[in-house]
Amino acid sequence: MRTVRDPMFMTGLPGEGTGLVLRRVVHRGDDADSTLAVHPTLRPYLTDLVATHGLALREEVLGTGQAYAELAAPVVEAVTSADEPVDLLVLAYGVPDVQPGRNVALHLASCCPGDPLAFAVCDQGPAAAFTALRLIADYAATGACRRAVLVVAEQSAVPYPLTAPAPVPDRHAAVALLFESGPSPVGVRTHTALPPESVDAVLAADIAELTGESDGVTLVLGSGMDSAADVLRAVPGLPYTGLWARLGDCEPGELLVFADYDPALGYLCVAAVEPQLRTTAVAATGSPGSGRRCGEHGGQGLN
Amino acid sequence: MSTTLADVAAFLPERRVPVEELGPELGLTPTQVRVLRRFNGLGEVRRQQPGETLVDLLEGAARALPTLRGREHLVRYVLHARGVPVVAPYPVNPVHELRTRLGLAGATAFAVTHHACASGLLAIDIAGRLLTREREPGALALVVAGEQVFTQDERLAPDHRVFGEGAGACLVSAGGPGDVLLSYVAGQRGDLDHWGVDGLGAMDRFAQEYTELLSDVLLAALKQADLGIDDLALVLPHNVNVVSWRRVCRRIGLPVDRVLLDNVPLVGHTPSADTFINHASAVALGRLAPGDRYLTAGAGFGAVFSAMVFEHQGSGNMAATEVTELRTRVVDTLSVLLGQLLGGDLPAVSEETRLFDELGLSSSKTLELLLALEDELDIQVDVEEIDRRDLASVGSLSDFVVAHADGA
Repeated sequence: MRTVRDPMFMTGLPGEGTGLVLRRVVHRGDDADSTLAVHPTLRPYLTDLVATHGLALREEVLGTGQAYAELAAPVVEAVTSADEPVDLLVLAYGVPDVQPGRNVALHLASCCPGDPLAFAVCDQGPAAAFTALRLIADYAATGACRRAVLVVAEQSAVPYPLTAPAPVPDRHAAVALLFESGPSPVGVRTHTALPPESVDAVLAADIAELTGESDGVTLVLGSGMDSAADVLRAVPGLPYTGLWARLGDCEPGELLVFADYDPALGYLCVAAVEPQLRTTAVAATGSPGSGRRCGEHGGQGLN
Repeated sequence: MSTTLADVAAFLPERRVPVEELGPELGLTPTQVRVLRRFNGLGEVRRQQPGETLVDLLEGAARALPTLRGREHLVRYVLHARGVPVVAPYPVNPVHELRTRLGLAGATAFAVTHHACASGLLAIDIAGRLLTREREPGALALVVAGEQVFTQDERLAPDHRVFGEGAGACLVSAGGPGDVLLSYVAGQRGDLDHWGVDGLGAMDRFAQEYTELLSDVLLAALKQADLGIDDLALVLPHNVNVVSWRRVCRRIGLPVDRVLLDNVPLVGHTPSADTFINHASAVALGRLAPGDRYLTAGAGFGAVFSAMVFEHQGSGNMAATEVTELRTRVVDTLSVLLGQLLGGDLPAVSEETRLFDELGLSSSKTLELLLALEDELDIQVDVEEIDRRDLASVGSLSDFVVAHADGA
C-alpha cells in the first residue's frame, strides 16, 4: 500500500484496491517535426542500431519526426489538475521515439501533479496500450494507485527500412486518458497467437462476457479490425493512438468496450471500462492543466 | 499473496575484455583507464562473440533457470526489462523472438522501460501485480534483463563505469516458495534528464546528488519493510563501480563487506541485469541463507533511484525467527529419524552428513525420510521441485524443507 505522498513510490506487500472509471481523454496531433530530431548524437546512434541488422539509414527521413516528451506533455497537462494528484503514469508506444535513449515517462511524470510512478511499455505493437491499461488496473486493484494517466504516443518518422510489415502512422499524435478509483474493475482480455480467422468469434464471446446485462454499450474498434457493424472506428492513419482518441466519444451512461487486433504479433485485445467523463482539466479549472512546469522537481527532496 | 522470486539465474558470455582493451573504443586516455581500474574497481567486462544477438544473450539467462523447463505452460507473461528504451530497429522485436524460442507462445510478451538500469526492479513489481489477479494457480511471469553494447552514447562518458554484456532472468510467482518481496521504492527525478534541454547540467547535478539520492531510497526501502540496517544480510548492488558504493555505505552506516561487490571487476555494469547476476553469485558463494533479508538497488539517468528488499527463500510471510526455529527442528528431527532408520550403524550426524555417500541411503529411502519428517513435525512439504541436489545432505534437505513447507 502506498503510504506517503512524496516524490518516492513506496510499496510493500500487495493490498486491497479498487476498480477504475475513465474521467478524461485528450488527444492531439502534430504535423511539425521536432528540433530534437536533428540532434548530432542521433546519426551515430542510429547508424550503429541499424547496422546490428544489416540496414542502412534513410537519409531523406533522418532528421524528421517527433519527440514523445514534447508531443505528449501537453495532453498529460490537459487531463490533470493541481488538486488531483496522480499515482501512476504509464506510457505505451510502438514506433520508437526520435530520442531513442530518453526516459520520457520520467519527464512526463514531472508534468503531473503527485509525482507518479512512471514507466513505459513497448515492443508489443498496438497491444502495448492495452497492457498499459491492464497494469494501471492491476496497480489500482492491489492498492497502489487511486488516480492514473495512460499515455499513448506515435510518430511517423522511421529512418530505416522496415524488415517486416508493421503499422506506421501518417502523422504524429499523442493521447492521454485519466482514470480514477471506482467500484467497477476494468476488464482487459489479451488473446495471444490468434489467427485472423478466429478474431470475430473470440471478439463476440468477449463482448458478451464483458457487457453482461449492461443496458447500453459503446463499441470502438481499432485500425487492425474489420467490421461492417455500426460501431465507432479509430481515427484513420493513427494505428497506435487512433482507437484511444475515440474513447472520449462514447454516449453518456454507456459501458465502453474497445478492441484491436494485430496480425503481425497475433494479439487480440478487448477491454471494457465504465466512463464517467468530466470536462477536461483545462476547461474545468480555467487554468492550463496541472499548473506545473515539466521537469520541475517536486521541491520536497527525496526524504 | 506476495510477489515472489521463484527462481533466479544469470548468463555471462565467455569472452572477457579487460578495460585496457576497451580504452581506445571508448575514447579513453591510458590515465583514464588506470582510474577506472585503480579508483573505480573495474577490471574486465564480458562481450558476446561477433554475430551473436540480443536474443541469444537473453535466452542464455532464461535457459539457466533450473525450474523453467517443464513449467512453460504456467508462464503467462514474458517481460524484457530494458535500460535503454530502443535497442533494435522497429519492428524487430527481441522479446517476442525470445518467447518463440522458449516455446512460450501462449504468454503475453512486452518490454518495460524508462527506469534506466533500475528497470529490472520495476519489472519484478509489475510481474507480481499481474500475477496477483491471475486466475490460474501456479501462474508465472518470466522477467529477463540484459542488453548488447552496440554503440557508445556520447553523452554517457565512460569515466565512472563500463557497460558489459550479460543477462539475468527470474521467474516471478504470486506466493509459493522463493524470495519474498517485502518492499519496493522508486525515487524519480525527471529534472535530472540527460536528454532534456539542459542535459549536461542535469548530468552534473545527477553526479552531485547521486550518493544522497541512492542512500535515501535504500533507507526508505528498509523502512517500508520495517527493517533496519542491521537486519540486512546482504546488498546486491548495481555494478556501476566500487567507490560510489563505499560512499553510500559511509553515508548510511552500512559495512562495505555486506555489499556484494565481487562482480564489479569481473563483469562491469550490465543494464538492468546486475541484480540477477549478483543474486546468482550470492547464492553460489553461500552469501544468502534461508530467511536472510537482502536489498538490491539500481539507479540511472533520467533519473531514477530504486531499491527492493527481499526475504531469501522465505515461507510466505513467516518471520525470520520462525524460519530459523523451523530449520533447527528439521535438522534435529532428521537426526532422530535417521537413527531410527539406520539403527546402530549410524555415524555421528551433522548438517554436512551426506545422505547418499556417507549413509548409503537410496533416493526412495530419502523420500521416505521426508514423509516421516512431515508426520513428525505436522507439516506438508511441496516436493514438486525437489531434485537430487536437495537430497545431498542433511543441511540441503533441511533448506529445502524450510523453503517449501506449508502450515509450519
